[in-house]
Amino acid sequence: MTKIKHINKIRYFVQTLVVLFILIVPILSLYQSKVSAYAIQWMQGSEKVFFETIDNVVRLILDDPKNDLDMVKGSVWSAQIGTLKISDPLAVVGQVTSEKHFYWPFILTALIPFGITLLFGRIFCGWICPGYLLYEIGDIFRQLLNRAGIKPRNIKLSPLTKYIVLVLGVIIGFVLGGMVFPMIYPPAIISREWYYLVYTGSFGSGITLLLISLFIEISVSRRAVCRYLCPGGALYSLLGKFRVIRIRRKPSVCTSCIKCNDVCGLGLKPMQDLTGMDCNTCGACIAACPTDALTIRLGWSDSPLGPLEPNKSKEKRVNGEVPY
Amino acid sequence: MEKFPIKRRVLLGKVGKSLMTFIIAGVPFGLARQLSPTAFSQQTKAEKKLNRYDYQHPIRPPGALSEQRFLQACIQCGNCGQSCPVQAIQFYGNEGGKLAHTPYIQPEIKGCTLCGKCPEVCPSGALRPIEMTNVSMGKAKIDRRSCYPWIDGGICGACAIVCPIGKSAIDFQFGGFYKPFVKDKCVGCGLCVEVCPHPFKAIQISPQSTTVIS
Repeated sequence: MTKIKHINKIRYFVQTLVVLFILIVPILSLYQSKVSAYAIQWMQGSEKVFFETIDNVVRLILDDPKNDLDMVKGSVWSAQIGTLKISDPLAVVGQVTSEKHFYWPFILTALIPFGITLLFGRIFCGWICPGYLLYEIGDIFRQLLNRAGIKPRNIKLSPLTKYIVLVLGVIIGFVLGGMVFPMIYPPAIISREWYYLVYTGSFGSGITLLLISLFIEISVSRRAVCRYLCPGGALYSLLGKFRVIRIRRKPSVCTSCIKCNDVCGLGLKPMQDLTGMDCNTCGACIAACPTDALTIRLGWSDSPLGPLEPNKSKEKRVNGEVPY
Repeated sequence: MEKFPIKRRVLLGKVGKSLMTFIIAGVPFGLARQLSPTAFSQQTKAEKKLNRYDYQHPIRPPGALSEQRFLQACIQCGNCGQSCPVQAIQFYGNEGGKLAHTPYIQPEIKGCTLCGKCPEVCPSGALRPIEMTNVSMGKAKIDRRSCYPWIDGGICGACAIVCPIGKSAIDFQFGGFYKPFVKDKCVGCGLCVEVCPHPFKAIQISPQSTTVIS
């Protein structure tokens, strides 16, 4: 637990793997359909080069890609790896409320993410969601704008907004009979639009929402979708309310430099021990801490490790005022 | 009395803030609605009386639930499209309205080969594994005014040869030379439509949702 400082880099690695999964699976599926049709030998030009390269790589691993490639399908919204199916809990919530019927084979596919969320909280957002990675890249542009002297605005809304989005989505699905979450949920949009691009050569309508949200991220409000609008984030926050793994602070080492509060993408305050339900354990605050005062530890509540220093009284911290 | 206006201001501010929260929470749905205009529209009064939506009638992949339940159950993941080895499964874009991002099959472009991979990969139970002969995607209908053997006794029979179900689904008329007709076991896969040599397709699939009231 001592070398936890670089958890942020492990997270970038995991996110990259997930994005590669999302990008590669539709291409492999397209390749599989071409192999099934014996179409590669009749192709011409760059298309032939492209698919022959994939063919050479895939045949190193699999003997019979026509059938063996069935084992990897899907995206982060709903994936099939081997015989294991994993779905987003939000998909289960939306489907059950819109169909008003329990189809257990589907509900059980969300069991693994559900259990992980109960233990680790909103870890999907920070570690797996491709939308969060996209907005983090947008954050780099935000910093560049800051450095160039154009101050992007940072409008803050109530964090309760995302719960209202979740409830509204459930109500709309219940009344009108149909899923609305995949139309507004960034990871579902990203994987679907990439699938459309690979298969049909053009994006669908969801890319507009994605670009609007990226624009908002860069210029109007930092991580606005994740903080205020994402229904999946709301569901994970609710599930992770009593999570076991938390970011905790050692007050004896902490110098109250407030770097962790500045760097937090979700606008939380690890320095005042106010991470709450929203923390996605991304580790940005741990990487930013100059004195290694923050660690990931077991804990039922957001309490500091060890006694508080006398000059930081509890009333002041709750009010959010930082005693320097 | 002096403090009262300030209190009222505070109260109004709080009400305004919570209203703003609700309005902002509706923004994503509004945008999604703008992008696919009839994506989640209300039932009209006439439809409510008839207890149904005015659905479009797409041909769904094999093993699909009835049209209304299919729309409720589909989670729009696109796994069926990925698993289809002949790329027969397509998806509605924003032009589909309520049906946006749900799968359909257009037999004029590519018919379904009934390989059974999409029901296996579907997580949500909108498509459920089913035997090839029990699939009910629709029924084929032959237009005898444009089918070549029916008009002038020409030699074709492509639809009968390509049918994966065989003679219990489509057969030649007894004594008639290559004149095909459709039997009850037709599942509506649409391969016959795909191979029909007539430029405007003498054989068509009428989707299941138009023929069966559930």
